[in-house]
Amino acid sequence: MTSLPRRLFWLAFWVVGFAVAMTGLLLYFKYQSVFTGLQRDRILLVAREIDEIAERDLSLGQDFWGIDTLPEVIERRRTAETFLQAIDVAGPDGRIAYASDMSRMGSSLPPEWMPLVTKPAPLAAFSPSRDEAVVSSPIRNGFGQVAGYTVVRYGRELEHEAMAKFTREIVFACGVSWAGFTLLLFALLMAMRRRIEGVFGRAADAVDGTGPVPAALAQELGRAGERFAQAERLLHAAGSPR
Amino acid sequence: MSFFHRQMAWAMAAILAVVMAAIAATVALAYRSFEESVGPQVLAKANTAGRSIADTLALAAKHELPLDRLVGVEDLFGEAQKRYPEFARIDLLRAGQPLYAKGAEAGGALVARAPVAGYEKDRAEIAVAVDPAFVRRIFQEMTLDLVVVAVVALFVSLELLYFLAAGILADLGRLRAQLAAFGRGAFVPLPKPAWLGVALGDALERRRAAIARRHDALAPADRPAPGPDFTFADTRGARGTNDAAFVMGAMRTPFFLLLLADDLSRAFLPVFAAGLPAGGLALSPNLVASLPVVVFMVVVALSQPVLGGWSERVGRRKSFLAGAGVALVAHALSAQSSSLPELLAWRVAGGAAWAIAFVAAQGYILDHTDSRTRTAGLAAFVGIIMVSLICGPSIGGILADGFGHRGTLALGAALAALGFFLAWRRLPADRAPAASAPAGATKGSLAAVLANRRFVALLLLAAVPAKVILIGTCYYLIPLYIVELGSTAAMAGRLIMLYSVMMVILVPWMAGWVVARRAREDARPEPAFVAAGLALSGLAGLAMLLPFGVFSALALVLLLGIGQSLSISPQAAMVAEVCQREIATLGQGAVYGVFRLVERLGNAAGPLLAAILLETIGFRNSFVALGAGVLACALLFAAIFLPRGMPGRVATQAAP
Repeated sequence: MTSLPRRLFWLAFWVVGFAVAMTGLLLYFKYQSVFTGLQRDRILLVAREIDEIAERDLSLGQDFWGIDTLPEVIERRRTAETFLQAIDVAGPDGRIAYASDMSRMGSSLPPEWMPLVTKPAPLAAFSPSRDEAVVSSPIRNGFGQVAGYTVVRYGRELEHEAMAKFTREIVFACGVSWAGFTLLLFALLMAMRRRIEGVFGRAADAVDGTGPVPAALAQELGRAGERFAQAERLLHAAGSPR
Repeated sequence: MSFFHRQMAWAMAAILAVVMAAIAATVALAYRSFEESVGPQVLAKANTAGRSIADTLALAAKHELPLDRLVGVEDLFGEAQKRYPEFARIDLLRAGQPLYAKGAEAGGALVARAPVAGYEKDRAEIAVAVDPAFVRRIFQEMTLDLVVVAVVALFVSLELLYFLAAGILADLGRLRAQLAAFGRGAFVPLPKPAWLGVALGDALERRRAAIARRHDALAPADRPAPGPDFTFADTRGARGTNDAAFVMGAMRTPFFLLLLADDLSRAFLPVFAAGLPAGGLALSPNLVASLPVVVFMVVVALSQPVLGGWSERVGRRKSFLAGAGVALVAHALSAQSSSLPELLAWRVAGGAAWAIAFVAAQGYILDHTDSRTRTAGLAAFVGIIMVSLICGPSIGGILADGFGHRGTLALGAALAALGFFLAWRRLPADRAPAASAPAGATKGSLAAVLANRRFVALLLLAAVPAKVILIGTCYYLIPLYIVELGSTAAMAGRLIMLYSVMMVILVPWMAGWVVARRAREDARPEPAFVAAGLALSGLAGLAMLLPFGVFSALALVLLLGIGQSLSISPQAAMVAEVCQREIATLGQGAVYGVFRLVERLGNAAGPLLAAILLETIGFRNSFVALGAGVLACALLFAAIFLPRGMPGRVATQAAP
């Protein structure tokens, strides 16, 4: 392979490779965001259900720390979804009032979670570790004030499995596209190069006076040829031997 | 179109087609995986909802209430549907037959079923049907996002292509230059192609060298005198590596990388700032979110006049490298910010870095173009900014989802580092001695430039109104209006992206049109283009009178895109013509600095004016008021600039 074909091959390789790799990377993140978004919506449904029960009882005048129906609902909801790890209902200060794991009642949410859980938004979602994610939503009393938070922790195994599967598929898709389209682009560039070099070769012959001027370059080459001839006549007239 | 232009166009078209096909194939393969995954996830959510309803009904079984005598079941279903509108229908089935139901039948729907505990002998179950239109909407949203991904990948790939194929494209340029020079009778040595057309380049050089040898062999008294028809010796001084195409090619990638480094964070910077401790500043969350953008814009606007002269004095290469170095530090430390004041400090540095790089890159173009090629050069410059604006926020938003805000800011630092490295390796040394360059714009020089009434007219009737309507409508009112119509913020984002894509495609095309008209008619068409562009921008605002909702907004964006692409480069090119005297005394950096300062104040005024209008007269009237105002400016501009033409024309005609 001479140097220009090699250069054209690497041009095709990197341009197609970059386009495909970047598409793959962006698709990976897009998929992750769609998948985690749908999963978060599903968890939020559970959190909101608990919120509604708590809010209904609060609106009837019950004390936040004495809602009898909550423990049973929490336990039922936790067991219904296999990937739910724990459901906690905490007061505004982060102290847990109800929990799917009874031993956590009375303890506090991790302090580093509190800024995320209490930030003024309809919901909070974050991942404290690689294998765990948290969705939290506020419980409001009859006056619209925040009385506490439902905090649902769930495992990210499903997400990891889905991402691993998608990664395999996207890597395969990118690999096939990269290889196929690199070769296609290289073939196209080589065909163009052959055509252009053909025209330039014939033009070089014309400049050397050994062939006709190629039609594709007739205008540009014609002007230059005319000037060359005029200059040669001028120099000859000035006494320069041919 | 010459042979060389045709070949370049064919090569670019072939590469574009293959890159687009590669992206489309990858997206199509990925789409199948998306489709296979989204359906089950939506069904899982319906399952969760179904189980929740079944649990509630199971309480009735505990009280041994017969299934067919339950009351309020439809109301319970109705409440669930109100909360989750994606559930088209909810049924309580007994032995497969509906006993209670809420919602219309949905053919082809995904249905989740959950048994009701306590009613096993009735074979009771809850069936939740997902609205097929909801799944379709998710796919439509995703399809549009995938198109955005494809467009972004395409533009970044094209920038990579400019970088990788620079040598080959330069060969075609060298051959064209050889043929053009020899065609004019200028028999001077020129750079020869190294990869493509080597034989032709060599043959032309052999022929030229033979003539030069014959010329040199003559006694000096016998040599033909150089004249308008022939030149045998190169009297233009060192050129070679500093020609316009080479300089712009060398500057393009580093400048793009620096812009991209900053644009990556545009999508999430307000959210990132809002999440940082305010460090004792008692500010509302909305103000906190806007501060990083505001300080950046203020630094960029205020530094322009100072930087213009400074960049000329220290040299474009040094100032560009300084900008890239400061950007690298600013992005790296922004990623480490632990409080709002800290982030703001690094955003100030980032704004200064952006402004320095911007002024240096613009300076490279102004230094290496003349009045004939300036519009095209500035169009390429605007094109780089627009490509970065298309790609940065879109990629940044997606990357932030994956790498986090700090990770994406750190990636910006890595891009700035790469930009610095490429600039250090590729940017040529400055052409003119830097010490002779004039000082930056002082208060006095600012007053001197602003004393030029035609320049003030250009600023107040063209530059500022163009920015006010662009930022006020496209970047402020449209996002709010689209959401008000019930559409999504993502749709507003796509409309803004459409504007940027139009600019990338149309700006060079319009600039080519200006150059062609100048060459063909020996005219100065810039004022006509600016006036037409302003008029179209004004009409864009009036397009909101059409009663088509999102499609009216689409019409606005399309008209605004055409209008701005018509006027943006000719407007900047007009500065050099209108301010010839001021440029001669103050330097073009200082004059363009004043131009950019006032233009950027228009950027800041746009959203402010739009907000005041929105507060007082509502959406539609705000669009119309801005449009009518710009239309009036277009008429005044035409009245001032069109009948008299440009002063430069008179000077050119008067020249011998």
